Amino acid sequence: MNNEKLTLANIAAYLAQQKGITKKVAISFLQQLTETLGEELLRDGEVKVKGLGLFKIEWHESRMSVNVQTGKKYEIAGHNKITFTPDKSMREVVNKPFEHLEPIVMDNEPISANDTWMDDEELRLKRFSEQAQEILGIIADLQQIQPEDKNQTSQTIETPTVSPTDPVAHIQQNVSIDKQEIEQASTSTTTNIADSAKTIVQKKSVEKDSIPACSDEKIMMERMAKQVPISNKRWVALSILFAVVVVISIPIYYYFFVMNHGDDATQTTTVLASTSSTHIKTIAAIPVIHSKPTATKVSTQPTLTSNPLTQSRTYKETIATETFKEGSRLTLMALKYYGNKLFWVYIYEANKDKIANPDCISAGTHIKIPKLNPKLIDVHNPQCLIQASALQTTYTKRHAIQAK
Amino acid sequence: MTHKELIADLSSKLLISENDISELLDTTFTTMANEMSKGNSVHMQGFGTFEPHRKEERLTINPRTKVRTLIPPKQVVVFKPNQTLKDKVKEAPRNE
Repeated sequence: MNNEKLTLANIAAYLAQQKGITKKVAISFLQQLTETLGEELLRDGEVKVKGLGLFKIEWHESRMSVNVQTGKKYEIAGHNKITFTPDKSMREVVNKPFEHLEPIVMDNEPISANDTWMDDEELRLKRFSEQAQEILGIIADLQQIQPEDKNQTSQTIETPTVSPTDPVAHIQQNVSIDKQEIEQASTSTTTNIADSAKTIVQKKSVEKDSIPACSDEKIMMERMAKQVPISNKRWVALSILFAVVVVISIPIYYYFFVMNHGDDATQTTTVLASTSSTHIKTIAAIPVIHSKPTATKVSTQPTLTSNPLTQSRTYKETIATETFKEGSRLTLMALKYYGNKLFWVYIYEANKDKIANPDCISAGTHIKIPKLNPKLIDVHNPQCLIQASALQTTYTKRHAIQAK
Repeated sequence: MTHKELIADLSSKLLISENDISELLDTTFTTMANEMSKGNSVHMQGFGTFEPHRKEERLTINPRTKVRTLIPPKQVVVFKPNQTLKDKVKEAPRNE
């Protein structure tokens, strides 16, 4: 950018050179042009010149103003002013240095959709943790009452394997105890759900079920807490009823869970990944010594589901090959093939050997569009977007340093 | 005054054919535009100055949808009339 001030003479010289006329004629032409423009403007109040723009005289009403130095009010009399609106062709040419830039929408829709999804998930987890707290309080109450009427239950609750400070384990333990009780009391046919799960799959199902089970537990426990003082017999009956409800709700919930989320199995796994990660956070927030079942659950799930994001990417298969033209962008290719601009980083990674600098790719380069793991480029998963944007910042930083 | 009238007027005053005038005008304006895109301003004696002004990028919020949009920087043409022309216009009778 050089900010020189050109005069009519400069333009005239250029004109003479281009059109094969003498400088004198060119200068006289330009002078005549400006003169005519000024005259016509004064006469008509409006001059429209193709290729240059529209000059117009506009009336400005009188208005009050304040002298900044003296603070006195004074009136600016009404007067005429020239306004100039450049022609479209003129505007475009002058804006050439910036013409490749386009407005960027900051909150695009997929991200906002994800936000609401996250909120929903957090809300559910929050509710879950609140429920856990309430249940913990109720259990504490029950423990105080229980030694008076039942020795057996109090023993089972205070099993040596469970550390008393762990609320989550406590609830789970409690749930399993209830289930065992039912197995003994009623001859229900459900087989060994109550057995502290040994395979990961079973653990998962128990974990999923514990969420809605908790809501049942909560209601039942509250009722119990109210009615315990009335009679012990009623409490026993209620506890059995509660346990039955828990056992029934497990398969029902599991069935619905499969029905709702079975269609897109990939999505459920990603959902699980995020839920489990937030889940861990909520658990970790309470100072807890994890008992065995929860501890294994926490360790197994992240390793299972966070794999597609963390594992190193290889680009063997390609969907398509594109030739880089003037005006084409990696981001636009990413948008075309993957549905989001952010995922251009993966295209860049696949073509690192050809692209020295992603900001400056020579035309004619053949760009391979790699086939990617759908979990990696899930537009609806915020973790994928975060991952991609993190990669983007690292690459842009690297090239900024190289450029220096 | 329209473009055609301007061409006719110039042609009669300079004794150059209308076609040539039209071409000359086109070349003049494209030259001016090219120079301004490079950041140079064009001073036309007796009329005014055409200057390129850079507008910085800015963030806009659509009041209805609350969508924030980043408007990129751009370069626009600004015309500053010469002081004598300004004064002449100022004193001109109010039109409309």
